[in-house]
Parts: sequence; C-alpha cells; structure tokens
Amino acid sequence: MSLTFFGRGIVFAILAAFAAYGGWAWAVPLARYLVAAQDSTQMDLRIAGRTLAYRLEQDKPMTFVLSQPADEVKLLTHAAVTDPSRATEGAFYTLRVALFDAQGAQIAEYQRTLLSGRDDGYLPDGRGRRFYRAGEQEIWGQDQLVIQDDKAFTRVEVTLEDAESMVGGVDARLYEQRPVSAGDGRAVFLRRSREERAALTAFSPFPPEMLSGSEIANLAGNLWRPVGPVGIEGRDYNALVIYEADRAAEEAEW
Amino acid sequence: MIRLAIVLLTGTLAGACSSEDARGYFAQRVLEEGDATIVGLTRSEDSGSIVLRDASHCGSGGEYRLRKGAVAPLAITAPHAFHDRGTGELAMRIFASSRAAVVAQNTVARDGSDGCEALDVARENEHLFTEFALGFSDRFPDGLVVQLHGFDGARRSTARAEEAAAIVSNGTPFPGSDTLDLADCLSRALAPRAVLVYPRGTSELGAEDNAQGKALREAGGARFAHIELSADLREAMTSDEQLLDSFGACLEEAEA
Repeated sequence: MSLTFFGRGIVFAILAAFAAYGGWAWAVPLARYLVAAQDSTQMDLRIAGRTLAYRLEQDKPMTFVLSQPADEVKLLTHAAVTDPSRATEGAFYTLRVALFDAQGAQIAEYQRTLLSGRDDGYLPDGRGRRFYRAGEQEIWGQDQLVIQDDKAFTRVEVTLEDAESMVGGVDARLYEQRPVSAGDGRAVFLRRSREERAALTAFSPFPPEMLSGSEIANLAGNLWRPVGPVGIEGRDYNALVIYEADRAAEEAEW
Repeated sequence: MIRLAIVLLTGTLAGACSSEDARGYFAQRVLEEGDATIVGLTRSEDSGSIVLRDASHCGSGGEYRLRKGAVAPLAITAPHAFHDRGTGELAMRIFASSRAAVVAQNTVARDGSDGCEALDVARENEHLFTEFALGFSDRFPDGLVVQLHGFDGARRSTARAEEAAAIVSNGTPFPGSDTLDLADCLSRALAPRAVLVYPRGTSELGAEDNAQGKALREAGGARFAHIELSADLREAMTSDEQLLDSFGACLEEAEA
C-alpha cells in the first residue's frame, strides 16, 4: 500500500510537529545537561580531591589549639610560587614552630628551613599535582614536619620567618591524632574507605582482611584529623582550598 | 496535577489549563504580588515580608516568606523543617540576615505527626513546594534555590560521610563550577570542618531524586543547591551567630 502525496504530507507534518515539540521542550535542558556533563568531565580529568590549607603570614604567628593535650602533631606545608619560570629545583622557606602547654607557657621552639621541591610527588601524567582553582600561583612540593615533645602541649604557633622572593605564600595544615577508644578501634578502621584502609596498612605485609583485632585497633590509633587556626576566616587568617589531581586518601577532603 | 487542580478549583485563573500557565501565574501573582488566594494559602505580613502559609490543620501546602523591596535572587528552603531538626530555624535566620528573596519550609512532617499524614515534599513532583521552585525559577531565571537538610552521621555507611559537616550537591553526578565555588566558600567558612562534594567526596546524600532539583533542571532556569548539614554543625550554627553569618554569606555569594 502506498501513501498518496496528501497522505505523505500529513505523515511528514505529524513527524515535523513531534520533532518541533521535542526540540522546544528538550533542547534547552539537554544543552544544559551536556554542558554540565562536559564541564564535569573536564573537572574529573584534573580534580580527584580537595582539602583546606591556611596561608601563613610573614612574622605573624598562626595559632592552632588542639582538642586535648598531645605530645605529637603533624605539620604539612608547601610553597605557593608566583614566578615558576626560574630554573630551580625548589623554593626555600623558613618556619618557626612554638609549642605551649595548657597553662600558656612555652615549652619548646623550633626553626626549620624547608625546600618545597618543584616536581615532588608528580606523576608523568600530572597526577599528584596540587593546584588552586583560581589565581596564578603554583603549588610546589609538600613538606611534613612531625613535631614531638616529652611534655604534652595544647597550643601550636606557626610563623613564616622567611622565604625566597619567588614564594608568594606558604600554606600550612596541622593534624592531631584522632582520639579512638580501645573498643572503637575496629569499627573506626572498618568504616574508612578502601583507599584509607590501604594507606593505613601500607607498611603491613598482610592485607587488611588478615589483620587481627588488636592490630586493627592499633592502626586506628594512627588516624589523624585536621586542626583549624584560632579566629575567624578572612579576619584572623585566610583559608585556601587546594585541589589535587590524584587522590591522597589520608588527606583529601572529598 | 496538584498545581492544575488548585488553579481550576479556585477558578481564579480562567482558561489557564497548562502547567506552564499555572507556573507563570505562581511566578507573577504569588511571588511578585504575594497573592495567596490562588494557591489556597493564608496571607499575612511580618517585618517587611509577606507570609503565605497553609494554615489548615494538617495543611501540607508549606510556608513561604517573600521579602518586599529589593531582593537577591536567592531562595532558601527547608523541606524537612521538623524532621531535620534546626533546618527551618536556620533557613529563617539566614533569610532575616540576608537579602534572599524567599524562604520556604514544609508545614507537615515527612514522617507524620499530630495525626497528620506523612508527606515528604522533597519527593513530590506535583506539590506547591515544587510549584514554588518553578515559579521562583521563572521569576529569577539566574537565581539559586538552596535546600537545607540535616543528616545523622551515625546512620551513614562510610566514615567520610559520618565525619562530614556538610555535603554539597547540585542533584546530579556532575558538580560543575558553581557547586565547587559554593563548596569552597563553605569549606573556608566552616573550617576546619569537612565539607564534601557529591559524588567524589562521598557517594551518599546526593539528592539525585529530589523533586525540586529535577524540576528545576528540566525547566532550565534557576540553579539548585542541596546542602546536607550534620547535627553538630546545625547545633553550632544555631548558637554561633558569626558562623551562621559566614554560612549565609556563602549562599549569597553563590547566588551572585
């Protein structure tokens, strides 16, 4: 059976009407969805994690108060370089760290000069690179200071003493040990993500499934949590969100 | 269908039978002029705002406060104001201290109480709450609809979500620049608390089935931000004015 010219015209008109309605109803949402998906895909290529750091100001101490007295904290820092064109292996900067007890008395002070390596932690495909979403500064290698003292301390002051001229800023993150009660260790460990569990057991010859309850509880004691500086963001200190091109499970906020 | 039924039953919008017409009417008469009769809400005025509320017993239409005068194209909503403790109060206080155009919350608990039938407006495609979001989108196509929710960390399946202070999503698996901007601002404002972005930070509480989020995406107008707040953070913001102001400033910044 063949359609007459009039019949074909009607079928064509109906199909055209459906197409026109579909375009009118779905074109804009579809375009927005595709733009969002493309934007996200581009983001995913570059971003695998985000974390918060605090910009140290020269000669102005940044104060961190711990949730309870501790004898050990970790300080992670890196240099943010404004002019990375210079041929160099890294950027030098000097920090002063002071520890105070619960009564406010200073119990120790350290001064350390660190080298933020230019390519530290990068993989050839760019994974491991840290960056800010805005601005021109380039984040160079991360340094870690494990600060210990025989006496318990409750307050840590970190001051940027000096830095090379190409260093636009130094960002710091301070971590304290997360208190885990003996009975909670296993549950706390098992609720971590697969990546975090792998990081915590990296030094064990056995996979997490083969660890005993007491070993797992001990590993849970190695969980650290970030401490924020005292004051109000924007007034007393400046916080910066750092994006990572690869997941660093123990640090990434997302 | 609810929006059409309301329009037809009240008879005020003669001849307006399509949902597009009802939406446009909601945008113009309700949001711009504060005319509540069309949607069966009572109208009152309170400190520079028009208050539209479903005042009947077990009335599930919701409550909408519309700011008079110059406003920022920002809607702050709390669809589970009873169940997610504190979110209704926080939404109201952010509205009071900001230039947000509208604040809205539910009027019937999602799990039912006082002998009323349970209703989760965040899952109702055909409800005034969704109609309001679409009307807001028509009125402010470049605006932002923020939904505040609360979560119980102990009920989350991963430690990361359990320990988070806030989880930000735009209701899709694609966060996009706007959502990251909002999350970055909240990270700074709430430091050192963890602010996660769905789905990379956590696979939980992404609100992909949220009725208002879906409706806004399909309509192609105002943006949608879904923010889950931990109990600790809600409590902290309830007692810490500075913290709440910082949080509200992020919402205003995200709208701009």
